[in-house]
Amino acid sequence: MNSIKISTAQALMILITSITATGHLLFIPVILNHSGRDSWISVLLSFFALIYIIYIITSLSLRYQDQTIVEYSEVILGKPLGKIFSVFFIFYFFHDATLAIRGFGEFYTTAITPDTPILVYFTLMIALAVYTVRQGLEVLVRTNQISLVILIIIGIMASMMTLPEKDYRNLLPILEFGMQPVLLGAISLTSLFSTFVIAGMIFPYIYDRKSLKRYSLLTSVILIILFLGPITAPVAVYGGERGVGFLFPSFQLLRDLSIGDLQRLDLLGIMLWSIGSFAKIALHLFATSLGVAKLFNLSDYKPLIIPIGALLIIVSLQISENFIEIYRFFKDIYPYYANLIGVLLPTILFMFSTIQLKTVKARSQDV
Amino acid sequence: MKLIKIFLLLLFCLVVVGCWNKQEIDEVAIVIGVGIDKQGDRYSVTAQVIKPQAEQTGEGGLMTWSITSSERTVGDAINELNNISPRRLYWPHLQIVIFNEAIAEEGVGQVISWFTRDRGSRAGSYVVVTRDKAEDLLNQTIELGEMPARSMASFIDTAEIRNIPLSKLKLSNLSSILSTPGIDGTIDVISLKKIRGEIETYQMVGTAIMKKDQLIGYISTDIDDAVQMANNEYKRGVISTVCPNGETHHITFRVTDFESEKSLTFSNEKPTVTMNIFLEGNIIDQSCAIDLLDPKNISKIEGLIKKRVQEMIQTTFNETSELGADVYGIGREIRRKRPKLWKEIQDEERTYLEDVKLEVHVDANIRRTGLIIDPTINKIK
Repeated sequence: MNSIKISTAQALMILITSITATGHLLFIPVILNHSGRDSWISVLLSFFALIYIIYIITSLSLRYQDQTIVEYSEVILGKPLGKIFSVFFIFYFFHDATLAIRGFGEFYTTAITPDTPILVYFTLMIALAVYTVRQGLEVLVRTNQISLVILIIIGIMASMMTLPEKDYRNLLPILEFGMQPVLLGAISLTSLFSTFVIAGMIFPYIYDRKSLKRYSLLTSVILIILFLGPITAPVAVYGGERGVGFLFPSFQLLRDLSIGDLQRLDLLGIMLWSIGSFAKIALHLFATSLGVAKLFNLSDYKPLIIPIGALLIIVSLQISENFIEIYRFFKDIYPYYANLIGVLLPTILFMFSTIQLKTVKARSQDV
Repeated sequence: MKLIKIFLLLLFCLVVVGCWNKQEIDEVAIVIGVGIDKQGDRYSVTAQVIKPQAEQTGEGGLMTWSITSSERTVGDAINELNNISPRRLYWPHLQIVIFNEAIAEEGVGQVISWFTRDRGSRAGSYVVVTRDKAEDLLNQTIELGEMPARSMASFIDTAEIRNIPLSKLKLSNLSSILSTPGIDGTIDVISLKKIRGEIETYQMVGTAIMKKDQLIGYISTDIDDAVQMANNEYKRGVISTVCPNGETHHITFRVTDFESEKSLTFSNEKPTVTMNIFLEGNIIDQSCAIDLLDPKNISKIEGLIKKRVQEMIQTTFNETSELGADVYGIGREIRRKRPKLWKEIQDEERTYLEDVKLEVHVDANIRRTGLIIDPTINKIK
C-alpha cells in the first residue's frame, strides 16, 4: 500500500480543488448570508485560521512521516482514545463527501435539469469516483493536476467577463453592522477550511517532503485569493442586499451575464463545479476507505471502496429532507461541528505530540 | 473478460447519453415577450410566442401568436398558459416584460418573483411599463415589425444609436434596485402611437418614477434624460437650446461623449450633492443666423447647453423628490459615506431629500459642427 508516490504539488493541488469546488458552490451563499457586503473581511480574517490549520496538519505529518492521521492519533493518544479520534475523522470525511454529493446533485436538479432524478447524478458521480480511487491515488491527483489548471483558467475568464457589470463601490459602507456578522462569516469559512485535515490522509504518500511547509503556506494564499473573487462578485454586481439570498450566487452571475451576443455562460460554472465536485468526492472516498482500512489494520483499502461508495449514495439521499435544510445545517451547525473535528482535534493531537516529543527528548538527555 | 468489459462499457454509454427530457425545437413555443395586466384581483398574463416560418399567415400578419390567461399568481397564470398552448412554452429567450400601469402602481415586487425564481427565465429581459393594456401592445400589428415583443426589445437595444437615452432597465437590475435602500428606479414607459388615426407603431413616452416597487408618477419626456445624466448612464443624446441671439430660434446639439461624477459633502449634517458633468458633442442644427467662427458665440452656446443640462437635472430632482423618490441614488451615497447618519434618517417621516442641496457643474464642449462652418441661413441677407 505504501507504494503510492505523489508529489507535494499534486497533493496540494487536489486539496485546493476539493476545498474551492464545494466552497464556491455551497459555502459562498452561507457566508454572504452571514456577513453580506463585508464578506471579504471574513475571508481575510479566516486567512489566519487557515494558516493555523495548515501549520498544525503539516507539522503533524512531518513528525510522523509515513503515517496517516488515523495512525498517528493512535501513536499519540494511545489505542482506545486514538481510535475514537480516528472514528471522528473518518466520519467527518464520509459526512463531508455526502454533503458534497448532495450539493452537487441538488445543484443539477435545481438549476439545470429539474426532471432528472437526483439519484442519476449520485450514481454517476460515485461510479466515476469509485473507478478513479480504485485506480489509485496517483491517478486521481494526476487527473486533478490537469483539470485544476483548466478550472482556474475558466474561473479567471468568468470573473473577467463579469467585470463590466461590477461596481465595487457597492462594498461600501464597510462594517455597517459591526464586527459580529463578519466574525460569524469568518467562523463559517474556517469550518470549510477545516476540510484541510484530510491532508493528513495523503501527505504520508508524498515523496518530496522537503518544502512541504512552505508550499502549504503558499496554498493558503491561493485559497484566499480564489475565495475573494467569487465572494465579492455578487455584492459588486447585485448590490449588498440583492447579492444575498441566491442559492447559487456565482451561477446566477454567469447566467445573467451577457457580453454582446455571448449570453448565458452558466455552462462554464456547471463545468467548474462538476469537475471540482468530482475531485472532492473522490478524495473523500479515498480518505474514508483508507481510514477504515487503517482503523481495522486491514492490509488493503481497495475492497472497501465499492461498499463505501454505495453507502455514500444512500446516506446522501437520506441526509436531509430538502436542500434548504442542508443550507441551514451549513449555516447554523456545520461551523461548530467542522471546527471541532477539523481544528480542535488536530490541535489536541499537536499539543500531546509536542509534549510527548519533549519528554522523550528530556528522557534521552537524562540517560 | 476483455469482451465483457467492452460490452459493459457500451452498455454504460447507452444509459448515460440518453436525454431525460429532451426539448425539440419543433415541440416548444419560444416566448419572446410577456405582458402582465390586472384583471379584478387576478393577474392576466399574456405570452407572445414566435410562429414557425411555415405557418405564417402571409403578408402583413404578425409572425407571432399571443395567449392570455388570468390567475391569482403569475406562476399560476403561466402554468395555465401551457394548458391552452398546443406547444409547451419555452422561456429562456424572453426579451421583454411589460407591466400595465395598474400593476406597477400596486407594486412590481410581487410579480417578478416567478421571473427570478424560474431557472428558464432570463434576467436580461427588459422591463417596461405601459399605460395601455400590455396585452394590446403585444397583439398590435405595427409597421416594420412582425414580432411586437422583438421590435420593442430591439427598440430599447438600439436606443443609443438612435440618440434616445432610456433607462434600459433589466429584470436583474430591477431586483437589485428594489432591494437596495437609498435608490429608487425609473422604468421606461412605452405606448402605442397613432399615426394618421391608426395605431401603427410604438413610442417611448417618458419615464416612470418608482418609489420602492410602486409607480408613483412620471417624468415628462423633455427632461427625463436627466436621470441617466445624473447616474452616468447617459451615452448619447440630443439637447436642444435657444439661440444666443433670440428666444424664438433654437440650436440642436448632439452629445457624443458624456461623463458625470457625483460627490457628497456634509455641512451641519446636511448633505450637499455636487455633480461634475463633462460633455462634448456636435451641433447638428441651428435655426438662427449665428457666426460660429466667432469664439464668443461658441462659448455662448456652450453656456446655454450648460444651463439647459443644469435645469433638466434640477427640475427632475425637484419633481421626483417632491414625490419622495430618490432616483439619483443620493440615499445610497449617504449610506456609503455616513452609515450612522443614514441609520437615523432612513426611516424618518420627513424625507431626507428635502435637506439635500444639489450643485451641478457642467463642462460643455462643442467639438464639431458637421460639414459646414457657415450655414446658408447666415448668407441670406
